[in-house]
Amino acid sequence: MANKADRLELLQGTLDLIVMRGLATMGPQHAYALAARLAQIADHPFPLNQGTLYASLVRLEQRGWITGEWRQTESNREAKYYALTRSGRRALDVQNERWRRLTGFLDKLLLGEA
Amino acid sequence: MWRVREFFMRLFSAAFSGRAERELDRELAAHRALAAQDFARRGVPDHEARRLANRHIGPVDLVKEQHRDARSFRLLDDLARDLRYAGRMIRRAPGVSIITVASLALGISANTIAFSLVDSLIARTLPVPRPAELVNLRERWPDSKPHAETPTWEYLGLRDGMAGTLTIAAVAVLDRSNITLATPSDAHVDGGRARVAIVSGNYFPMLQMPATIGRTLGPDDDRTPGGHPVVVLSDAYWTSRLDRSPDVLNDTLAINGTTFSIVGVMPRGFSGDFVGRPVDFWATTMMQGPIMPEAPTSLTKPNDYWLRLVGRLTPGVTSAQADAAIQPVYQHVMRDAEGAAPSPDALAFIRRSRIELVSAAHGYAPELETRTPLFSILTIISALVLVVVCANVAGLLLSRAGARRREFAVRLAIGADARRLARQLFVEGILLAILGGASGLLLAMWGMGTMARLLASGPVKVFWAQSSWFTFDVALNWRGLLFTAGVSLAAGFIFAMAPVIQAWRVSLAPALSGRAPTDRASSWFGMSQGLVVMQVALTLVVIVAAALLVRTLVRLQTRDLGFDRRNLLLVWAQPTATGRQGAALIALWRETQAALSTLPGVASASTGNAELLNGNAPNPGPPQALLRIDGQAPRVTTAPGWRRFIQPDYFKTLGVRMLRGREFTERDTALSPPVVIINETFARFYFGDEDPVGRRVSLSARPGAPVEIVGVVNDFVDGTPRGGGARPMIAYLPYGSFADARQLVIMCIGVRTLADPRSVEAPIREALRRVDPSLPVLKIDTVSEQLDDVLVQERLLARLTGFFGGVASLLACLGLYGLVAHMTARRTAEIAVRMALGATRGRVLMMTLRDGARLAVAGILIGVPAAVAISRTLRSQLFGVGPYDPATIGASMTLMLAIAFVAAWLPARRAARIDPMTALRGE
Repeated sequence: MANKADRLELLQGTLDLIVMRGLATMGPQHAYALAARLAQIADHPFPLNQGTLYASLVRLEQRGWITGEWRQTESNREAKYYALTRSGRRALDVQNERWRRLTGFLDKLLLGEA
Repeated sequence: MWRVREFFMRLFSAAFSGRAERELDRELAAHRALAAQDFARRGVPDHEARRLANRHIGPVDLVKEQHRDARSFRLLDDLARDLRYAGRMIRRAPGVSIITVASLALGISANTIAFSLVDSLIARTLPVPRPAELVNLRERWPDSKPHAETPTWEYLGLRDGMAGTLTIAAVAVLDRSNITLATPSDAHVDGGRARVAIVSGNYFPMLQMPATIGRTLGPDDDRTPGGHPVVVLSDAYWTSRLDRSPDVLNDTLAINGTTFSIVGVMPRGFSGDFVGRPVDFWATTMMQGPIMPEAPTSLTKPNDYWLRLVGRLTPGVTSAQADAAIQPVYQHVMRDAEGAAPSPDALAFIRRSRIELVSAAHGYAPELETRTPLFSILTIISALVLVVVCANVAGLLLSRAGARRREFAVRLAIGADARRLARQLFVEGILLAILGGASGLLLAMWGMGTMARLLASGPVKVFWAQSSWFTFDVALNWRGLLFTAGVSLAAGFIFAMAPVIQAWRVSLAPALSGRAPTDRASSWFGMSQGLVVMQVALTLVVIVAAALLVRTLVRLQTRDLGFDRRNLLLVWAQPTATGRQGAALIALWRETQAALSTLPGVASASTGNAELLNGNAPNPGPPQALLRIDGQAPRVTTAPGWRRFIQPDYFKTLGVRMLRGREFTERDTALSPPVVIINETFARFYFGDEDPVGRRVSLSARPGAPVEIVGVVNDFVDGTPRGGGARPMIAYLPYGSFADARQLVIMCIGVRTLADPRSVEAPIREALRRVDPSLPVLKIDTVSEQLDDVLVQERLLARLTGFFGGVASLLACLGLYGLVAHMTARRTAEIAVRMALGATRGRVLMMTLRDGARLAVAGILIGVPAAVAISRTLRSQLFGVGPYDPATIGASMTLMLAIAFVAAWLPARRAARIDPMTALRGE
């Protein structure tokens, strides 16, 4: 049973980045699938507080980086599918670049001395 | 770019959160379904799958909250909810809410109107460069109110003496008719009735106001009498009469037969410096003769007070410095005018006289100045009423919050944020304030127009060198809007904080610090009682003020004026507009008397040049011997000495008693021996108890040969019904007795009718039209109508304070009722026990009434000294009652107690009807 300490405390910005990357690689997804897929990759059950995920999705939607559309799943239930927009893709590139630089810098700082 | 988009989306979402919430609900439902499906596929049984699915999402409220925080602005979102909640609370009690909003609207609109009135006085500056440098000059004689008009010689003396320190110009504004405009193609336009300003040559240079077309008038236009027939038009006159014709400089303007060329047009928005009297065109003082044919020598006559002085301080000179500099110049000028051997009395008089400099940045506004006490009283009363309203609303909100204290306790127990609850209470109050402010604004806009109309009305003043009607320009501007918003929010803050403070002290703060919220209902009442006591006190103040002002009005309206006011009409005509002078003017008087006295329904008609009941107060004048008896030393007096020209039967028409002697007849003309009728005060001062009839005296009012006194007439009210001050000594002369008929330019015709005066009005107009069609009839009034005009301010004050007194009383009554009802309801158990133990219904009634009385008495004890203090500011307005009048105060206190009785009666009756059995069982 996962407890609070196990839930990954993710910064707001990084979750946004993760969601966008996920949509970029996986294509249009609905929130549940996204959560499941992320749990899969992280190899960790319930890693996300669902509240932060939905908050992230609505934030990205308000920025115009993703759009949501109600569709039917394969099992004929309705779900809201989110997809990256063109401006979202551009923002993703920008964020990617920033992240790479940040991690490179941190790597050097924290590990380079070792 | 995305930041902008996000910002607006969040704003939108804060306002319309319903859609987003529903969308999220839908998504969460889908999420749950998919998760349950997943679990089911892994073999988990159905209900377990659903439970796990729910857990997958986690606490729904937390999800929603995080969603909301992301999609909108927390603060705005909360505010929007609070507002919606407050709106629901207000709708739930529509009756109370309407009364609350209505009383707020009344209180706020009153203050807005008062503010706009004051604003109109002080805010509008003249559209000239550096208006702060402008000053109005007034002359003040000892023991007199200052006057603005001076003779030409005084103007010239002051102007020359102050050159370099203060540039002084002169202006006189008059109304004229008989004006035609002509274009070169010889088309004639009726100039109608216009307002002309006669100005000195340095007026426009002093104002530094250039013309938009052509030029202004300058010193070169003011050199030789009659030699500069040029005028400058105002933009408004050019628009209304000449349709803004671009050819205006080629047009001419004719007044009374003299033609002037138009040499310029002033910019739009400039209409002179006389507030409320927009000027149509300007001419110079040298053209005074042709423009004022009824007084062709004002320019040179030493006793004609016709010019008003206005000046501009030289840059660097302060008003105080100019004031100090002008006094010696003034003294010098006045002494010079006395000639070679001035009398010691005259010198003493001059020494005690002075010139006053008043800022003219806002122009010259004598009517507004006289209305200043009115404005300040209105401001104070409005503020008081608003405080009463606020206290009332605060009490209301307090009692509502008190009734909800259990709800607060429950909500706190289940985890609500105490600060959030406090904010909700606060928003409820603010919403009421906003609604009240918005309605108050609408009410103020409507009330403003009515107020302006009332203030602009007044008695007809027919000076011969001044314009009579004026417009009062008060409107709601951005400053008024800002003031209204500020007052509404401030008031809202005050009465919204009351329940918040109470809730905080009693429930919320204890809950926040971990203690259980107390249910001390009694502490809700401390504040409520204080509020009700305050309402009673302030209402008493307003009632006392209203009572004093109403009594003043009644006394003024009913006092004995010394003449018979039944069936008497006063007809005001303006013969200056006809251009008649000399013998033609005398003939006009004779013909009008003949025409009117022969009308059916008219008992007699007679004209005098006294402006009866025009509001003028007698002012003491320079000490002079009004009457000299041969062989006796002249007796000097400073009492105002007036001179009136009257027709035969004047006193009979007015119904004034002749104490001795006779009235004038048609035989008293310029050629017969000079005669005079004097009034009682005059006779008593110079002759004591002796009979003056038949005596020959020298009269200062009629220089030349000695005059025979042929009659003594009773004193009667000539100018203002207030009387007081010095009683004037009036010398009445026959209208035909002066060859120079300049004094006959004011015509106040008294017409005594046999029956209803109003039925004769139309025949009078018709008859006057037949005598001279160019004679403007300004007004025809009965005496009460004339009095109403004079007493406009008093009537306004009485009505407004009376109205507000009523509003405040109603609110105080409601406030008292609410509180007493509440107190009684709380004591139901106690009352039931008392009754069970033998208390009679009567005693229970008395007990409740005593509760109400205690509150009322507390309020009265505070209110009486406050009322006395505030009534002192009314002193200048009162007549016949002093500000400490015990009868008025006593009556007001009694009224307040009666109101308290009425308020407490209903709850008292309900208390007395309590059935102890059911009450105790219900506990």
